[in-house]
Amino acid sequence: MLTLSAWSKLKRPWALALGLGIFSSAFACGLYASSQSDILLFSNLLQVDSLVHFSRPFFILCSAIASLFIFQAVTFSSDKKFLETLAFLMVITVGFVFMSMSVDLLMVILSIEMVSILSYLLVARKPNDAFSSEAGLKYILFGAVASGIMMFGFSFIFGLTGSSFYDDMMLKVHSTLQPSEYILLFFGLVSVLIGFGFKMTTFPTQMWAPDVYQGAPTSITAFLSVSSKAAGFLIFIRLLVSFRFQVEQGISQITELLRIRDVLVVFGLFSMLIGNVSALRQKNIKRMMAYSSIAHAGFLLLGLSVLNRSGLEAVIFYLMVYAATNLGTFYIIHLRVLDTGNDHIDSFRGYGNQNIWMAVAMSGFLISLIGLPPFGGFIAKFYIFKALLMERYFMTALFAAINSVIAVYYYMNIIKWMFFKEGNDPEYPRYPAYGMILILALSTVTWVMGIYWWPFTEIASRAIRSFF
Amino acid sequence: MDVSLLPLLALPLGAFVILLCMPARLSLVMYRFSVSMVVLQFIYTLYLVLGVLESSALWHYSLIVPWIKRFDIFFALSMDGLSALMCMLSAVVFLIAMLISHHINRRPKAYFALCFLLLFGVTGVFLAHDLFLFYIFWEVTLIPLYFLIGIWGGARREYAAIKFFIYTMVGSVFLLLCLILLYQAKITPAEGILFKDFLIHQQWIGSLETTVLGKTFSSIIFLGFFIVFAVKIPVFPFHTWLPDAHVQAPTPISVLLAGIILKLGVYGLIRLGLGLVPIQVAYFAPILLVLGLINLIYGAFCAMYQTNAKRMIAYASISHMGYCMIGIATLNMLGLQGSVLQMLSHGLISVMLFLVVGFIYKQTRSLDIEDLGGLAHQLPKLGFVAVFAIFASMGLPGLFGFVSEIITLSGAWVAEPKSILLGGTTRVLFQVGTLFGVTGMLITAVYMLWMLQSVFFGPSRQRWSGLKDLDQAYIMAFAILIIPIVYFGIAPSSLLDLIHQSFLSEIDWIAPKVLR
Repeated sequence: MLTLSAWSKLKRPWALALGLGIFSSAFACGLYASSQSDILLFSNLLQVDSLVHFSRPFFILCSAIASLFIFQAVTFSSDKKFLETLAFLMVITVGFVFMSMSVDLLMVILSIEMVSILSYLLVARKPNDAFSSEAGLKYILFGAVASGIMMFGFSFIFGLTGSSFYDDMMLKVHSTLQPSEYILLFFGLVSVLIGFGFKMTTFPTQMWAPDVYQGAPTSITAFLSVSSKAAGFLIFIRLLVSFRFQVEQGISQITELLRIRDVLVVFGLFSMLIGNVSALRQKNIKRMMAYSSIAHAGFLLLGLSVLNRSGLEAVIFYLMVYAATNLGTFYIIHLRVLDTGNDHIDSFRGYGNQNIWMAVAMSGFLISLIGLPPFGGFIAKFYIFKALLMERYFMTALFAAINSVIAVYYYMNIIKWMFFKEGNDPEYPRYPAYGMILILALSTVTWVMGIYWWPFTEIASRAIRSFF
Repeated sequence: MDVSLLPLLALPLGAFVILLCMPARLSLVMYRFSVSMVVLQFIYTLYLVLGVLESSALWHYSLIVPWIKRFDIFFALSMDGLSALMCMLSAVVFLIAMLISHHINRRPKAYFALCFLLLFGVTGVFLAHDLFLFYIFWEVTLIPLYFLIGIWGGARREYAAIKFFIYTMVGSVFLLLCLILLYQAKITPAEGILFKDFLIHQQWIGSLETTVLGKTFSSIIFLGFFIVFAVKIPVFPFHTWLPDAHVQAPTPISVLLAGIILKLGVYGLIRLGLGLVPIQVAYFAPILLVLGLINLIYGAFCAMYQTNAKRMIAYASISHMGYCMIGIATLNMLGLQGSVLQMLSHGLISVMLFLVVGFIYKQTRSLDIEDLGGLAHQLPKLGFVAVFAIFASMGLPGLFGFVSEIITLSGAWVAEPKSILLGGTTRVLFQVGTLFGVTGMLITAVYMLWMLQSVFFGPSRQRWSGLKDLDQAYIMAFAILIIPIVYFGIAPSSLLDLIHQSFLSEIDWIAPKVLR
């Protein structure tokens, strides 16, 4: 695709068609391949198992939807730029899938860097825009620091176990590790968590999110907020599960390592608190959504902290719901920014009068993000609470619930601007047909996930099947 | 598979969908359509209630269908005496609200559609027979109310709407957590957490000696339930959303709020609190009594202080709901019956009060008690209904309000729940509480009569000389309200039978455990 962009004058619609064609064939291949058994590739660097069979279609779908967003973006209105961005999108999709496939520390580093470099490029695409370049710069700097911390942690783990391949690492950890070395392993894991936390937008490496989300083109923000976060969580799931913190199964005697759960809970609670409280004061919608995504990442981290089957299922289901909801929300934000030219929250003023159905769809997405029935967000939070309460994390669940209520204010604030305030422009903005269909599809999915969610939880539980 | 209850839910939902499809300009058609739909709902509810009166079984028209097998959640609807009465009340209150909504000219389509969504949610709460379904319907009532207050309300409507939403949401998350805890801990052979199996569930909840944070499991469940319903009822100190919401909401929505939404909390406390954790209710009964009394007396004093008529009636609502709390705290048949009767009577009487004030506001644009004056001279019909409503609210014997208050206080006088908090002095506490309750009736008279005197009697003001008297919609609405208030004030026996029926097995089981 890059060669095409350099040497041909392929028009944007054709480029989009080509891109979607490639995505759908990749999707189909992915679905076909999921009928086969787990294999290891490339001399034990990558593993194809049930998690990958979930993540491959997931990332391809997100990228396909993102390409539709990008098609409509003003930033990418030139053919050449659009082709380039589409090419980047494809490569970053491969990177995300690699992230979920990595079972070796080196591969983890490689895939994360691959994804990072491409995301830096995607974020800084707006020409002559100070915010965009600032976003890209901050992203690079924070990303570098986070990668550094992550690799520091990896060095500890490698040093203690002598192998970078997850399975070998696990064997060494459970057999040859001295008790005096447990604390070092724990420290390494926490460093890795901090490094991964960058991708997952969790505490303590969440501070890049507001600036980057605000500065990047909205379509890119939408894509990264969903895919990058999902990839970060999937890669972290793999690492955690590979250490097999299932003491009750007798596999590991290292009960001290279970303290990683407490770290996860603390990081999760802080992420939620920071995200929700900071979002209350935001005037810029993209910044507000960035803080909201920090809060959701905190929720996901809590779901991970229970470290059992129900927790992991809850996390993967939540990622699916979050993908549908967030993509929809950002798309409507994108359309609104195109209409009004600014990305302040009060640009939504009177949207209910102008285009009632879009406003209703936006309300649906926002209510799903709050976590109220009958939308998917409620079921996702329900599963996470269930996992927490089953493991008797009572105060954690209570704190998470209170945080959900804090979040109500800033989500309803947008609804307030849309419906309660009169707008200045009574004209009905015209949106392209595929845009309306996309919003319809995403909002239907979000709603269906709230009333008929069994198939999706089935997908989630099948995704983690090969871990147990 | 008895599907008799499904039309009660399908009707509002169908009306919601149909309204969404109507073109926006047919506002008169929408008004007539809405009124006729609610009339249908009312007639069908009446038919069902008569069926409940006939047989003496506890649960009628039960529809229990497995829904989410993995979590033992059923789609279960059922009606007993209490639910029947609440459905009836909601139909009446919604009818009143729809009748007087003819002046809504801003986005009538959205308004009526949201009202029907609210009716769907409210009816669902009263009919739900499974704990999870109860929660879902509870949440469904939140969103329409937020929009109804926030779009068609008064000057500070956005503030009132979000305040209402956040308060109620805080309560709801506690309900969600308790719900999940209960579903996790379930070890009985009974399937799901269905209300009909509550006696079975009470036993295993009581036996769960899981020590959580140093307290027992059932106390945690009770506290969770109490918080969520305390916000709705509203119990002091969670009551501060109510004055804002009632004052800022348009008249039909104030009617809905006061008439039926507050009752959701009391219903929930009776159903879930008494149903699942009655021993804890008995344990905390003195606290419930005290909170009810604070509602009653503090609410009445707050009302006395107000010069805004609508705000005064809002505080009067808080005050009257105190009787419901007192009734629940007594845990005997008299008190519980009184509590339910108070729900019904307050549902009718406060609706009348809001209608009176709303009608005045529509014409005069003023709610200031001192500003208005002498209205009864110019508007005799309005004067008549106002006098009626205010005396009913004060508890004039012969009207419904008196019946409910006196039964509640009689129950409180003989109450003796087994509460370890105070040991043997519980009886004395309740008797002292009853005395305070009676003074509550006295204080109510103070502010109500003051408002009556100041607004309706006294010298006529020049400003208000050109006002129109009640129009047909309002007359119809008042007629619908006056008839039951008079009838049930004289002959409440049919209501008492219905309530008695639904509480009998409950009281029989818990009486030895919770009463001395």
